[in-house]
Amino acid sequence: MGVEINGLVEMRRALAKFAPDLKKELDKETRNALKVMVNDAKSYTNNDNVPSRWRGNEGANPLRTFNNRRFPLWNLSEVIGGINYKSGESKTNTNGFRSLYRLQNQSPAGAIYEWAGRISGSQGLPWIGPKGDPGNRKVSHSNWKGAGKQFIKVLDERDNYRTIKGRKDGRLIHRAVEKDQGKFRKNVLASTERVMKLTQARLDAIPTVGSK
Amino acid sequence: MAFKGVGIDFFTRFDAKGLNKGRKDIDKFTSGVKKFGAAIGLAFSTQAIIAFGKSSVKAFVADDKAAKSLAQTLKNTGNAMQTMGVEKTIAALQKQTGVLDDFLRPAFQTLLTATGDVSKSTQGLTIALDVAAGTSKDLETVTQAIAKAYAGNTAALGKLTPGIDKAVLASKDLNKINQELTRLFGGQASTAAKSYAGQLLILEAAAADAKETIGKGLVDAITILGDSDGIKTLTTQMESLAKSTADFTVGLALFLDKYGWAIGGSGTGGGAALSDLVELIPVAGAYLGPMVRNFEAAGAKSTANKAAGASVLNPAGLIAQDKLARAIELKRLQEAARLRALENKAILDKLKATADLKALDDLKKKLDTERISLTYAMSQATDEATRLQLKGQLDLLDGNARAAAEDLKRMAELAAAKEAAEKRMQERTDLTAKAFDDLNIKSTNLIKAIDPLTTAFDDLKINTNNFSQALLDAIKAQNEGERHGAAGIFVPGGIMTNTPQNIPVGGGSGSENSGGGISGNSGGTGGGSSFSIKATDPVNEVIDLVDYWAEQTRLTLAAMAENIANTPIELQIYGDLNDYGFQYAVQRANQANARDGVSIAGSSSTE
Repeated sequence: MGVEINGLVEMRRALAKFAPDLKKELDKETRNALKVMVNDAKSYTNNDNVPSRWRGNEGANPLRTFNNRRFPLWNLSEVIGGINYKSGESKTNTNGFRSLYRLQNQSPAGAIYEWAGRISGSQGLPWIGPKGDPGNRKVSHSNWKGAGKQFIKVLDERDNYRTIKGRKDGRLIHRAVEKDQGKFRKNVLASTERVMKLTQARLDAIPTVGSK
Repeated sequence: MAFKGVGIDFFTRFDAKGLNKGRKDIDKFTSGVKKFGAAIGLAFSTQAIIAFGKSSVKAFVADDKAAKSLAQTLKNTGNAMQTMGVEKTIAALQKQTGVLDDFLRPAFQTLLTATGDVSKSTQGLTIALDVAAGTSKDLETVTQAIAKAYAGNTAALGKLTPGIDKAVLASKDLNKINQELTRLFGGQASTAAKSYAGQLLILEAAAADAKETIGKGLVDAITILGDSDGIKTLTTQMESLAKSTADFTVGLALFLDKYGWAIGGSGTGGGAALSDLVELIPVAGAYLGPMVRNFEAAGAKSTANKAAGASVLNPAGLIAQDKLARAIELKRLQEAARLRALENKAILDKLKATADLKALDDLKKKLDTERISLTYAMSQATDEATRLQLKGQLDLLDGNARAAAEDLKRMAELAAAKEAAEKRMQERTDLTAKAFDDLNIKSTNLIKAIDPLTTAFDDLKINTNNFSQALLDAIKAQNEGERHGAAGIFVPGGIMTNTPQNIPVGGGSGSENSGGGISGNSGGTGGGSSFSIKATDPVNEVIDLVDYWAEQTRLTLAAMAENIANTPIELQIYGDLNDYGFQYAVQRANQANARDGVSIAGSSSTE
């Protein structure tokens, strides 16, 4: 998903130094473009799309599995609040990459809804039960062996088995990015190019020392 | 780690800073490894190999001596059986702390001599290691101080550890001293072992162990090769062999260098065996490699046999001994297998016989008509006594005397209980009949008391009716007199001169009153009530008469009610309060009385 761009960070730094107003304008445009995707992702959240017994206090008779907080409960406001964006260069991740903008789904329940069944497949993770090593994240700790499979099945059914380019992908932010059709990148690049031209024009307008 | 959620990154770039740092670190490590390799190469030069061989043998000899000395001490203190355990403990401590067993064994021996107990000595050694690490004193000094303290002389330990509680030292209590030392120095040894210096010590200890192992192997090899010429020959041979080995090693190093073979680069278990190296020799390696491998296997086997207590001086004997041991073990296993098979067969036969017998019994029971009829009758029996009787018969059929006796006993108990219940029932019935008889008599008396009242009431009713009729006639006559203008019964002035004779005015005679009116004494059933009628006109006179009779009626009825109220009604019903039927009847009666507002005074008693 990531596209490697070199020089953008340096350009932003130069802008902050020589044309802070243009940097501000560029940031504003970028934020607006990101907000579109964030709002789209938020609009995909719906209480009806998740099992009622996953909804904790909002749902009727929440599952016992969900009560002990080992499995985060769905809370619509929390999930919506967790969908946001981040701008500015990030720290280097484990693969050695740094990003300038990030669309994120931060709440635990939101992340589960985003990716449930996308990595483990429709069968869920291998079951080990609640007595297994709690640090092992590659197995299912549910009380019931078929919980993961059932959970993914319900989510998929209510999501109409939607796919992105032929494969199952995220349900919230990935869907928003897919809907965006790459407009965000194009807009950022176009804005950057425009700002660069403006900056260059300003720099060109500065009279050279010694010239008349 | 806090959960960060999932996200999609835009405009990413690769940051090679971390990778470059990692690459530098790896280069540094590689350089270190190369230096280490060079050092090893130096160590394995000719002279170095000879010196290493000698020092290895020396180390093994010293180690062996220390081990045997400790074993003897253990034997002397009656702990010979724990020799293996102590050796394992010392080896573990060496690995944990990096302190060589050359120091641990004497220290343990000192403590064992003082305490005579393996567990206390082990604990003391652990504490001594902590104290040594905490005070930077050598283990021997610390151990001797602790051993002296165990023996009652705490001066040395007091000097060694100035912070120790003097009262604890004065108590000379071994457990208290241990606790105090643990409080002051607990965990020092493990902490020191985790430091870089400690890690190096552990590495050194491992190297020393390896050295001893190599020395042991050399001694075994020399012992195998030597004969009765003595150690001198053996030493010469060893030197010759070492020289030869060293030359060979250098040559091998050159060879490996030529073929680019690195230390730890191949072989099994992370390190290279000699056979692996020989196999690298072109052409000849293919023949020599397996041969060298066989030598290695034979050497390993010999070492293992030595460890198991076998002699290395007689390889042929060893082989024979090995064969014999194998044969005995095989025979033992075969015998065990045969016995197990026999046992299994016996168990199977027994199980089969039990199953057959059970099947036969079941069939017999199913086909037994008497049993069938008894079982059916028992299922249809409605009372316990009959059921028990039938069960007893079935038990008799089964030959189960004990169950039959129990049935008989139960039947006797039931019969006795039944008889007692019948007796109690009869008694209650008699008492109830008597109570009803008494009630009947009292009812009769009540009726007798009520009858005169009824008669009087009837008379009163008749008289009232007569009076009413007479009164009506008098009024009628008066009205007619007035209508015809003739003098009637009533005289103007309102004086009644003609009182109807059948009016019951108390049975007394009325007397004319010149003042106008009627007066008399009531002698009726009410008795004792005086009356006086004074009227000035006929209407008031009638009203007065009505009042009079109303009063008489009230008095009569009151007398009747009092008479009835004063007549007691006593009903006694006897019953067994333990009888649920009786309890229910009493409860229903009480409920009915409560509903009708009747209070019952009485008592209940249980028998």
